[in-house]
Amino acid sequence: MDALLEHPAVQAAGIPLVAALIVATPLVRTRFAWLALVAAYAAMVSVTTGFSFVPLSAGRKVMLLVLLAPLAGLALDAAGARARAAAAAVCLAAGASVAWVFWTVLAQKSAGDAVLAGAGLAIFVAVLVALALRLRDDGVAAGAAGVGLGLAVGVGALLSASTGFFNAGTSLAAGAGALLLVQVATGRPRVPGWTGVVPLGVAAALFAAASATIAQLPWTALALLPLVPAVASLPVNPNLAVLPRAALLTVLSVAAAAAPIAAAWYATLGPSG
Amino acid sequence: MNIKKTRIALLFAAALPLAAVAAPEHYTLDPTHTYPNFTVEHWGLSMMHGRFDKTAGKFTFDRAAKTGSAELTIETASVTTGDNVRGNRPRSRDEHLRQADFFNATEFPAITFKSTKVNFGAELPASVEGNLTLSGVTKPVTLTFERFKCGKNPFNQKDRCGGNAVTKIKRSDFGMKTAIPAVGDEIAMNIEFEGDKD
Repeated sequence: MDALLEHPAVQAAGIPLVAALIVATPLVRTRFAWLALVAAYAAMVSVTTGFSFVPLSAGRKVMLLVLLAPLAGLALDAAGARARAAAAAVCLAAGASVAWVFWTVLAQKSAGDAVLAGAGLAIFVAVLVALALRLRDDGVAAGAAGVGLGLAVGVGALLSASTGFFNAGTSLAAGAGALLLVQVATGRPRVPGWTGVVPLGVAAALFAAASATIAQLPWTALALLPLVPAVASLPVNPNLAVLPRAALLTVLSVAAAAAPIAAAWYATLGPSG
Repeated sequence: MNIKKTRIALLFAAALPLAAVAAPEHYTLDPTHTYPNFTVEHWGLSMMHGRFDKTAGKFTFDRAAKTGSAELTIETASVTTGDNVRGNRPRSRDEHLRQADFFNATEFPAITFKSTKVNFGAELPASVEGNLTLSGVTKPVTLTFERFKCGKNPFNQKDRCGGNAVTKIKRSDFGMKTAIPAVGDEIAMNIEFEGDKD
C-alpha cells in the first residue's frame, strides 16, 4: 500500500482525483462542488512535500495564493459582485501578485530586466485569469479548460525540470476531470461561479509563471497557454447533452494544450543549461 | 641611557616571535582547491556524489588564543553530479538539481556558511560551529575537520593551510523535500579546502 501511495502518478493524479471526487460528489448540487479543484491540489501537496510556508519562497507563495483563491471566489459569489467590476478586480489583483510572489527572483535582476520580466509575468497572469473568469457560467467548459490547462502546465513543467509544478498541474487536471465526471454522471452541468473559476485561473497562471521563473519553462509556452481557455469557451451547441459536450470541449482543450507543451519540448532541444 | 635603550630594544626583540605566533593568521580560500562535495542515497541503492564547482571564502585562526572564524560562499548553480548532458532526455540531472525542486538556484543563488565558534585541537582547529544557509533557511551545523594541515605553497613559498571538513545535514530541514525517500534525506558533506595566507 505504501509503495502504491508513493508512486509519482498516484501522488500527482490518482490521489487528487479521489480527493476531488470526495469533495465534489456530495456538493454536486451547489457551486461549492468546485472547491474540489483546490482539494485536489491540497491532497497532492499533502502526500508529496507537505505544507510548509517557511521560508516564504516563490514556490510557497504560489501554494499560499492557490490555497486562498477559493476564499476570494466564495466572497465574490456571496457578495453577488457585478461581473465586469469583479473580473477586473480579480485580474488586477492576480497580475499585481506577481511582484510579491516573484520578488526574490526579480530583485536579483537589473532594474530594467526586473521591470520587463515582472510586467511580462503580470500581463500573462492577468490574461490567463481573465480568460478563465469568462467560463464562470459554464461548468462543462470550465472543467474542460481545467483539464487542458492542468495538462499543459504539468507536462510543460516536467519538460522544464520541475516535478513540483508537474505535480501541481496534474493535480489541477485531475480536479477538473473529477468535476467533469460528476457533471457527466449527474447529467447536469454545474455552474462554477467565481468559486470555481478564480482558483482555476489563479492556479494555472501561477503554476505556469513559476515554472518559467524558477524552472525552465520558456516564455513561448506562456504565450501559448491562453489558447486553452480560449478554445474551451468556443460556442459549442449548448443544447448538446453533458457527455458529448464535455467530451468535445475536453478534446479541444487538450489539443490546444499541445501548443504550449510543444513549445516546452522545443526548448529542450537547445543546449543544456 | 644607551644601556637602557639597548635593554628595551632587546626586550622588544625577544617578544617579537611570541607576538608573531599569537597574531591571527588570515587565509583566503583557493577556489581551485576548495570544493564542497556531497553524498546522497539514491533509490536505497547507491550513494551518489555531487559537488559545487564555484566557491569563495576565507578563514582566520589564532593558534595562541585558540580563536578563529570562517566564511564560505558557494555558488548554488555550480552544482554538478557528472550528468550535465541531456542526451535523449528533456533535461539533465544537473539542470534538475538547479531548479526549484532541489537547490532553486535562481531564487537562492548562494549557499553560505558563517562560523560562530572555532574549536581547537592541540594547535590547529578541530571543528567549527556556525550557521549554514541553504534555500533561504539558516540552521546551525558543526563542520568537523577530518584533517587540517599547514605548510608552504611550493610555488610561492606562502604559508598555506588546507584539509577536509565534514558534516551531515537533513535536506528536509532546509525545505528541500522533493523525492524523499527515493532520493535520501540525509546529506553527507565533505568540504575539501585550501587557502594561502594573506
